[in-house]
Amino acid sequence: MSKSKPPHLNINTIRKIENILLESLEFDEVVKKVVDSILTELGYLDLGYRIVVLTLVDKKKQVLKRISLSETKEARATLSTSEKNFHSIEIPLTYKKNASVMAINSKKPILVHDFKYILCPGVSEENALEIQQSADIKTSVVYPIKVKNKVIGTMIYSMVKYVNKLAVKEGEILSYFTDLIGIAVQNSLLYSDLQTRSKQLKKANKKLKDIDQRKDEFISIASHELKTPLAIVNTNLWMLSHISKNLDEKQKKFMHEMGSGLRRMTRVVNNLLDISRIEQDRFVLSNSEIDLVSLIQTTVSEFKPLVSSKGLNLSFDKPNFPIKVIVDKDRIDEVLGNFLSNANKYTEKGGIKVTVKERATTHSVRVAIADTGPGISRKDYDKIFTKFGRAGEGLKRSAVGASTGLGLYISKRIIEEMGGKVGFTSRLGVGSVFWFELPVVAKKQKTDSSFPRPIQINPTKEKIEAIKQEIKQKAK
Amino acid sequence: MANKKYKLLIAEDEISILEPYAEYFKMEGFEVETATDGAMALEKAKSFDFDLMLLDIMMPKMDGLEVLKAMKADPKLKDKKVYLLTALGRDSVIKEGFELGAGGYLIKDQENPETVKKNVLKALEE
Repeated sequence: MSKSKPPHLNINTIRKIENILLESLEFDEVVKKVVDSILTELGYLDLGYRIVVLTLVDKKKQVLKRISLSETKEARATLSTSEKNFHSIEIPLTYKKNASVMAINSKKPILVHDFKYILCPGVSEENALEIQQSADIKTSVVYPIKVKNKVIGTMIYSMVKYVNKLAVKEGEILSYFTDLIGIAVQNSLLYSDLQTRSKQLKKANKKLKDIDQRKDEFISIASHELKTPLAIVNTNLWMLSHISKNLDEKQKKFMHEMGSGLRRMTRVVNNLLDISRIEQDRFVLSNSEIDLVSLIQTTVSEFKPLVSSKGLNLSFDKPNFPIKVIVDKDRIDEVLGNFLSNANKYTEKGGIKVTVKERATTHSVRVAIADTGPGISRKDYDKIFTKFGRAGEGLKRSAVGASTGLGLYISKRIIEEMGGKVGFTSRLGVGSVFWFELPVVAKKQKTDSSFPRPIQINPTKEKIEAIKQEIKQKAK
Repeated sequence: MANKKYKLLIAEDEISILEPYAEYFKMEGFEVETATDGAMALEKAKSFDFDLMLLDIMMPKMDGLEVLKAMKADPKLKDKKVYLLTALGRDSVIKEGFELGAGGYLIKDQENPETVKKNVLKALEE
C-alpha cells in the first residue's frame, strides 16, 4: 500500500461520506457503518487511526452509553483486556473529567493522550492503562455529535500515532463526518420509532376489524332473534282477527290497538337495526374513477323490467360523451337504486326519466330522477330525506309493516359523505324530481377503506324484485 | 278463491308461525303438509307432490338454501316452485336464493297469511 496523503475534504470525499452514512435506515446497520467506514472507506487506517467508538446519550439515565466499536485488531485487543464488557461501560454526564463529557459540555473536540480520560469512571485507572497498552494507542480525539445544536453523543477516534494537534484537513473531515453521523443516527432512530408505531397501528386496526366483524355477527343474530317473535305475534294476531266473527266494538278496538302497537314495534326494531350500522360511522368510501354515464345506463337497464312490469316508462337521457368522476361506485349505485326504487314505488302511470348534467361553475355533476307520480304536498316536505319520513298517509302501502323509508335518508348520508348535495322539487298532481349532486372528485375519507360494508337488514320489495329480475336476465 | 285444490308444503322451524299458516291455508282450500327442519323438508318434498313450497331459511339440520340446492340437483324436484319465507334480508342471501331457483322471496315480518296467500296464488297461476 502506498503512503497515502491525508484525504481532502473535497466534493468527492463529501459524496463518498454521504453515500456511506445516509444509505441505510436500520439503526443496527447505521451504528455499525459509522464506526467502520472512516477507517476502511476514507483511509483513516493509513493515517494511524485504529479504534472508533460511537457513544450516545441516554437521557433517562443521564449517562453516556457505548453503542458500537470498530472491527479492528486493536479494538479486539481492548475488548479482551477490559475488565468490563464494552456495552456496560457507562459514563455519568456529571463526571467532568471524562473527555466525552468535556466534549459534550464544550461542544468542541477534545484531544487526550491518556486512556483514563476515555474510559474512567467506567473502568479503573489501572485497567484503563492496561487497555491503552494492549492496543498501543497514543492519542485519542473525541468529537461531539451535534444535531441541530443539541449534542446526542460522541465519536471517539483513537490512533497509534502521537500528536498534539490534528492536521487541519484530517480534523475537518472528522468534523464533517461526525456531523453526518448525527443525521444518520437521528434518521434511524426516527425510522425505528416509525416502525414501532406502524406495528401498533396494524395491531389496533386488526382489533377493530375483528370487533367490526363480531358486531356484524351480533347484529345478524339480534336481527333474527328480534324479528322472529315479531313474526310470531304478527301471524297469530292476524289469524285471531281473521277467525273472530261478531266481535263487539270494544273487542275490535283492542285488536286494532294490538295491531298498531305491533306495527310500530316492527318499524322501530327495523330502524334500530338499520341505523345501528349507519350511525356508527361504518360508512367507508373507496373512490375510483368511473364513467357516470355508463353507471347510470347499467342501473337503468337493471330497473327496466321492474318498472315495465308496472306498465311504466323508464328512460335515460344519455349524453354522447362520458362523464368521468372519482366516486365510490357501489355507493352511487346504491343511491341511484334508492331513487329509482322510490320513484317506481310512488308512480302509478306515466314514467320515470333520468338525466345527468355537468355544472361547470361548481365542478359538480347533477343526476336527476323525474317521475310522474302524485307529487308531494308541502306539509310533507320536511319529512323527505329524514330517518322516519314517509310522506302522505294517502299513498298506498305495499304491505303490512312495510319498508321503513330509510332509503332516501341513507342516500342523503352517502352523498353528503362524498361532499355532495341532495334535493327534490315537486308539484302535486304532476310529479316529483329527486336529484343528487356530486363534486367531480368526491371527498376523500380519513378512514381506512378496507372495512367491510355494512350489512343490510331490510331490503324493500322493490329491491328483492330487482335482484330477482337481475338473476332471471342472467339466466337467459 | 282457489278453484283447484292446490298442494302446499310449508317448511318452518318456528311452530308458532307454522301452525297459523298451515291452518289458514287449509281454511282457504289448500292441501297442506308441513316440515319443521331442513332434512324433513327435503324428505317431504320427495314424497309429497306439492305445487308450491314455502321454505324458511334458518332451520336446524339443513338450512333453506341447502334444501334448495339439493332440490335443484334432483331431476324430479328441480322445476318445482319454491318461495322463500324468511326473516333474513341480506342481499347476498336473496341473490343466492334466486340463483338456486327460488321463485320468490318473502320477508316474514312484512307479510301476513293473506298477503302470502296472494303471492302463492299468483305464483301458481303463472
